[in-house]
Amino acid sequence: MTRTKVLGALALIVLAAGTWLAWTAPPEAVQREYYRIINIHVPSAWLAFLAFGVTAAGSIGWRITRKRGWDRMAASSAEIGVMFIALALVTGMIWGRPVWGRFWDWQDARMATTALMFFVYLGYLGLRRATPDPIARADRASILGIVAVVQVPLVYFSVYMWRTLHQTPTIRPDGAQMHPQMLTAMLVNLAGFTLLYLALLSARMLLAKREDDLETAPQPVAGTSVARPSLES
Amino acid sequence: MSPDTVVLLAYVVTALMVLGYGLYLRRRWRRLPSG
Repeated sequence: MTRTKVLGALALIVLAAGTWLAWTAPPEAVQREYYRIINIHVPSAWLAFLAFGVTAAGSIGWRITRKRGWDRMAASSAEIGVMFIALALVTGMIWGRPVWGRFWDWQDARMATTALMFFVYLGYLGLRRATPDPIARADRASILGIVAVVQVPLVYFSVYMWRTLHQTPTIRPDGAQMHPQMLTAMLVNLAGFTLLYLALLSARMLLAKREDDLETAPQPVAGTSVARPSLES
Repeated sequence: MSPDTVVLLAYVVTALMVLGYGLYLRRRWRRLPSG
């Protein structure tokens, strides 16, 4: 729990600094003040990508080692990733209304693929809830966790593959097309969101471990002399 | 709605979502049987 609290405190400090930097950076030439929303929108989307990547890594780890810790990591990260992708969708809609004139456009490739990703990972969480046996749950979820991660590059490159409403990335491997103050604010916010992700992952994994321990503990089913067989392989 | 209000709205929604998720985790933790 101490690690979670330290990470949470660090996240709060860095996010406070990031928010101050975001609000004091100069306004953008065309979008004016509205662009400040990207300081939440972009880190949320990136952290969702990272979270779903960690889910895929945890799923692969489970399939190779059959150790429950990997499955807990996959499940915990997916849940946090769903929250981050929901944040990216909501903040994108709040920004889109004044800048693009609409909250949503299904014909836009980035929006449509991101919404699809959100629903697929909701399905991942639903699949976990619908499977009571812990081993079967980890097995089934791991397949989806590995397959679903192909959506991350699909969402990222959707703006290149289909030139629709959403613009291409401003920060690219070949450099950032931003004012240095705006870039600093964005990077500090990205660091804050990363710390927030790590704090939430730490808390969620502690919870998952506790739930796992309770779930797999031998339960008396017919008095105290008979115990339920362990499902651990 | 002024541009500053729109940006503020995005920040408030973000804070509420993160706080809500944190409270959800805490509630799940507290509902677990002790032992």
